[in-house]
Amino acid sequence: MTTFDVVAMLGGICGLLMVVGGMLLLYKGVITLSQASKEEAVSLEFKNTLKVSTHYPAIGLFVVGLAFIITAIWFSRSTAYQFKIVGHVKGLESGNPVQVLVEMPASWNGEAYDDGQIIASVTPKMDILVVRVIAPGYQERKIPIETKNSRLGELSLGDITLGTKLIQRPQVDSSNILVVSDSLPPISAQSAF
Amino acid sequence: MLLLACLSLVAATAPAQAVVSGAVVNASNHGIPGLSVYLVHSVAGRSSRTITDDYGRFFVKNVPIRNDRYYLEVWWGKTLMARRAIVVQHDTNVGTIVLK
Repeated sequence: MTTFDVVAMLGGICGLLMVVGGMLLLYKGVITLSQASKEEAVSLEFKNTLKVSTHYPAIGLFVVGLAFIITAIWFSRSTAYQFKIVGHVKGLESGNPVQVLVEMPASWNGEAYDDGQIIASVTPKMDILVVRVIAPGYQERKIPIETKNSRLGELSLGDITLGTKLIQRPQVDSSNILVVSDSLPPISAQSAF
Repeated sequence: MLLLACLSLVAATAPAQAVVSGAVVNASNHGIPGLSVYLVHSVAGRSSRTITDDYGRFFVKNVPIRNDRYYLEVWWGKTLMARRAIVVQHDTNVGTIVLK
């Protein structure tokens, strides 16, 4: 949990306490809605466009409390994106599986100083994703897709054809495959490095 | 000072890594794209998949340097096409692997 998370959580708790406390004070009769102040009890103004003011202290508590809650929620909202990519590869050959990778272009702007320190700012660009369609013996295809075209978080590639076929599959030559006595992890094993 | 000392210690104890590169070609000496290349070790495990480019070249990065041997595997989809033993003690080019 970062410092920002703690501050946002405390802001939300403060807002909640003010709203619940206001309701409690109203219930206990300590403050009443009929107690109107001659002066403005609470006035909130945002960039000269939104102005909320009330003469009732009880309403003021609600307004300030809600402002705390809404601010905490706004600043702690998730900025993660998630897309579902769907499509169909045409012209598959048996025994020739197709791999699909999705890459996100990122701009890189940095330099290494004399002492070797690197300072870089990376800006992920979420507006275009690049889908790489790879099959053994075929030229790789790179398909850029614009995320603004997503519908309900789904990006459709439609029908995809493989790139140009460059190489026929060679025969398996057992002399190329070293027989090992060591126990090696299977190809399905999770990558370790 | 203590933080700097700790960071230096971490940097000093981090395992050294290397890049293993090479190319896979067919009998006509044409590079084969789209093949999966792995480095495998009985203890260190299996590397993440590296895919040969349109010229058949591959680069396996972040390979921990070891004194004993790795096995370099080349797969056509789910079919093992080649396996050879290599020792990685620095950046290593395994040369050209020919699939006939």
